[in-house]
Amino acid sequence: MVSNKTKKSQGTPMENWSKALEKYGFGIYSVLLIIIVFPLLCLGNEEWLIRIESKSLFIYDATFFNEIVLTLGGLLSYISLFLTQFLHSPFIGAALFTTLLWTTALLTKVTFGISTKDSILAFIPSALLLIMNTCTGYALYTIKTPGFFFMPTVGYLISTMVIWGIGRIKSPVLSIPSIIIWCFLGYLGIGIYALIATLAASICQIKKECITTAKVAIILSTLLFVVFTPLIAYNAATTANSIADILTVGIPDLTENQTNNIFRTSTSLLVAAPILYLFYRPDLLKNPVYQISFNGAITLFIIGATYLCWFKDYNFKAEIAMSNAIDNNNWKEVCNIHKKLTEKFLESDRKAYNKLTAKVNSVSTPQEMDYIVDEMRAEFFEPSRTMVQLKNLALVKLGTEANQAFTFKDGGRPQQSKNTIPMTLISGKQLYLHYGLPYYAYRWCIEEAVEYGWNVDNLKYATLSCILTDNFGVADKFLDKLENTLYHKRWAKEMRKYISNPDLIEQNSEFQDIKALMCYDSKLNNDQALIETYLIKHFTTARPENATAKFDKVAMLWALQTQDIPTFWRCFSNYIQTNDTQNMPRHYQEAALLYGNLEKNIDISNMPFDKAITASYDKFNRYSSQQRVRSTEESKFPFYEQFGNTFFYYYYFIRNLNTY
Amino acid sequence: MKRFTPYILLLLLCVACNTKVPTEYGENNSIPQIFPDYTAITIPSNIAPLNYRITEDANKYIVRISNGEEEYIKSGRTTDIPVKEWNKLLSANNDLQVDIFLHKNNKWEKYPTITWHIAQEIDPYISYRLIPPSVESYERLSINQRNLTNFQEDVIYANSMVQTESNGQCINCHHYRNWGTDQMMFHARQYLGGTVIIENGNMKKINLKTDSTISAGVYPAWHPTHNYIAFSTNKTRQSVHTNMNNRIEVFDTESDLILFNTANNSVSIIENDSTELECFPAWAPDGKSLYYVSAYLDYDFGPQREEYIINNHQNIHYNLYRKSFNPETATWGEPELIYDAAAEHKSITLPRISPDGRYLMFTMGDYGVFHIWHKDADLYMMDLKSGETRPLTEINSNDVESYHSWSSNGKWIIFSTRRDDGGFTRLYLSHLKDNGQFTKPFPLPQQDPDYANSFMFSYNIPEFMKEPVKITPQEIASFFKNSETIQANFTKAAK
Repeated sequence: MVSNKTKKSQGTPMENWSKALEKYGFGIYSVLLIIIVFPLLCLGNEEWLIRIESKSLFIYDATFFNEIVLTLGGLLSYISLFLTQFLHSPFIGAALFTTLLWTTALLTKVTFGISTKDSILAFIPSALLLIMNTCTGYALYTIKTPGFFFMPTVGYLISTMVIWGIGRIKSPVLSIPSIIIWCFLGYLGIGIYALIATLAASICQIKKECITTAKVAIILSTLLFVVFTPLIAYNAATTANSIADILTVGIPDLTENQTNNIFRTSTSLLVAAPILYLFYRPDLLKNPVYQISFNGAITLFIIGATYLCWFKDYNFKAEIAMSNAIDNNNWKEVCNIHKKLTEKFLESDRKAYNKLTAKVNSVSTPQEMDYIVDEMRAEFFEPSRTMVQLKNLALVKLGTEANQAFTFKDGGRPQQSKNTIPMTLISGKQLYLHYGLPYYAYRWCIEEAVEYGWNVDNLKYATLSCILTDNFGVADKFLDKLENTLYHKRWAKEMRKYISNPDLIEQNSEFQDIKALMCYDSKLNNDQALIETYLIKHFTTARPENATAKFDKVAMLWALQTQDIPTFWRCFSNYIQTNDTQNMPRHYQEAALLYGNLEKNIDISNMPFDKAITASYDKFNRYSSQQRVRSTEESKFPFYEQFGNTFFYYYYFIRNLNTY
Repeated sequence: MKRFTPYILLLLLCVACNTKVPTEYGENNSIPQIFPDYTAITIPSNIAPLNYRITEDANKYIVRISNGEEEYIKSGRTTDIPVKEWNKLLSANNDLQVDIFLHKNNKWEKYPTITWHIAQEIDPYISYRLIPPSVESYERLSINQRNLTNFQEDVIYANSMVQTESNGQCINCHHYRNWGTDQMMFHARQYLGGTVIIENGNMKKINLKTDSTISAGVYPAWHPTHNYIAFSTNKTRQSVHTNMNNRIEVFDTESDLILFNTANNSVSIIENDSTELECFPAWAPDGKSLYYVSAYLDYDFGPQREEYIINNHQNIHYNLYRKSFNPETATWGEPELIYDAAAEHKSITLPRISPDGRYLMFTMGDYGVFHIWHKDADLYMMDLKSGETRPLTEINSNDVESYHSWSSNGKWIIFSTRRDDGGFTRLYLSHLKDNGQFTKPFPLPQQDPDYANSFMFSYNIPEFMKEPVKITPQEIASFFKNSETIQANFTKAAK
């Protein structure tokens, strides 16, 4: 008897799993959520979180509150912006977001009566909310919604709480007016989430109601309010929204060009979730096998979908990390990020090369060859133009660009997104400011602020630009804003010293580095948002009579990048007028040797080239003559392994790059 | 909590009643430091409260504003004078005396009394465009109206109400006929664009670009008595200064003047000399002459014209001209040079004639047509009776002064300036005295004195209005979406 009982209580493994699920389901999934999401965010994506914060702004003052709150969905934006500021500290930010995701699951479970054994269903909104953020990628630079990172989470949480709260009101005399009042006020504050909550709460009431006429009355009044509330609000409470947008208030606006299908699907599912959950039946799956299979399948689906939907362009992450390092004047780190990424992919590049060679060996026509080369190109690591330029800037700051600029992997891998975000938006402010064009940096701060809103990033660079151009009044205005933030007041106070005492600018090496490049005469022009083209033109054609040694040195970097022989010699002759010619940098020697041999216009026979340079050049030529070059792309990798740190390689293999 | 409410209210009442002017104090002879600088100014008898913040540090602050009969006393560093209380003070039509008492080093100090002289009424409304000081972007633009007798501000129309991500709309050049709002207009460029003319609640959208004109209408001037609007037509470009505090240069590669007849939607040429860049029309109050500016440009290299102007932008100088006009026959006289600014290497823009026809105010800078970006731009005034012109030194600052507008009674002007911080345009008011001198200008009063400091938009094209615009922004937005654009007809001008 006893043994029988024991046997019965042990049950089959499936039954045991099922019982465990019934008892601990929510706990198990909660632990899974926390151990997966939290480390993923704060350890693997901390730079991304910091960047998201720098692209937002929360100011502790009444003007800011009024500006944000007095728009449709303004309360939601305000709360979301408040939370976004904590992403500046990735540990706190990730903990906060993970907690909110967990709370979302808990509220979903409680509000819609999801049984513990089916708890996984309650985690679907959390997964959607995570995906809505992680799939955005480059849209980070063009997103127009303040506080987008937390917005859907907060919106969903509030609406679920309201559904739960109204569900607790037993008397229809109280619950129906509550729904109506909520519909209007809620819409003003949190937008579409309020309308969904109204619908869901009304459906709950209909379920409770026995009298048909009452049911009809609830349906009609709800529909009336859900339809007319946005229209009333549009006519009475806003001039900031188009009538076409009144049903998307509260949903992050990634801008038309960047909105992807993943984001669209996730958003639609999230918005529909409160209604869909009303159809949930706890007793649907009784068989333990089905239960376990169902839970397993949903869990795998959620994890798989989250993984697949995560934006995974490695250059995107590197650009962000490099930009953050520049913000902190950590120039060595900028180069290290580039270097580490190149090293990380070296082995896979080797494999890709072997694969490419095998494929190329099997082709018979040039067309096939082109197709394969194009197809395989994506399998090799290639930095983006932004990465290359940020790395070059860092080398300029470190003073080693003339010896190291072409020792790093170069290229121009396109962004893995629907539309290309211009470099001016990603790092235009940084490049212009540090290359001595603060007025252009300021211009792009303002353009960005107009299109996508003021944020910490554009306020800081606008401030620096103003300090460098003696526009202290405007700088003061920007610092007032930053001083009222949680995490940037120290930076603002530090900068205010330069406004109070402009003599200190002379003592700041970073400012002086930039000022040394501001020796050119003012010109009237336009960059057409093509920063590389503009900087090439600026440095190689706008040399002032009183050019500094630094200006000529930076001009050499841009001249080398043009791969244009006359431009090189022109800038070189300027360089030797203002700089030390005793220790000629490596890349200048490489370029002089190469160009001198390619075009015999300049006599290089008396130039004192280092032996190592001439040896490297000879080796490059010998190696070239030994190779059976069928395609430049095919030869690229073996040449890169041998000569990837020379200007020769750059000249022959880094060609036809698209600037943006 | 509820049971404490009466006690809290009582406590607040006691605190409020306790605010009284100290009886014992020392005299401090320095000028009290307040922001905005409202010291020694003349204000309209119907202006909104002049709230300010005392910038000096002290332990306690007390302010007394008195009109000789009644007084308003307030403790605290920042004033937030209720409109009702303020109106009581203004109603006596006496000058207001402002006394500031600061408690420092355990004693009260009284600062010299600030006097706010009361002058004639001002038009109760102004309208302006709010715009970020950017080069190309115009995501958020709105034309707003502000009640000058209080702090009420409303949107007349905002581009966000119709534009989509791929279809931007730039709105500009709002304008009224004779300071009334029954006849008003503004332009919308690009998406659903056109010149919107609103007359007695009826709206129409016109395309003023014809085969015989170089662009749609730009800078407007509504005829005071007849159904005409004079416009400039401009091919406008802009570029960025790489290393100069003027930041941006806006210039025309071509410009002419046209006359639009609002009754029959026809357009005719006023001036289209190919060697001149004509701009900024302004009617004399009797409607019998049109003032405008024009720059000589003996150059016509086709596509290279823009490059030439970019390279020579500092050599383009606009003079002031006048052309007589017969409104009955719509015929024009010959252009008459009124002020040869080019001879002084200067450039005139934005001529505006006072309602009594006595004065002509304009903006003058070293070169060019778009002085809002020119640090050297100042306001000047010509006495049309004596012909004398003088810089308005009592108004001008070291930074930009640009757009200006006369009140309907001719006693007040409002103008835009970048004097506050050098970057964002703000509005200042000033009173014209009988001797033709202006009083010290003061910024547009705000409920929060620091509002202008924190506001990240520029004020642009301030215009006085006798009444608010009654049509709603939603009606205008709906009109844009649902209306057809009327094509203007070109007719030859009568000579």
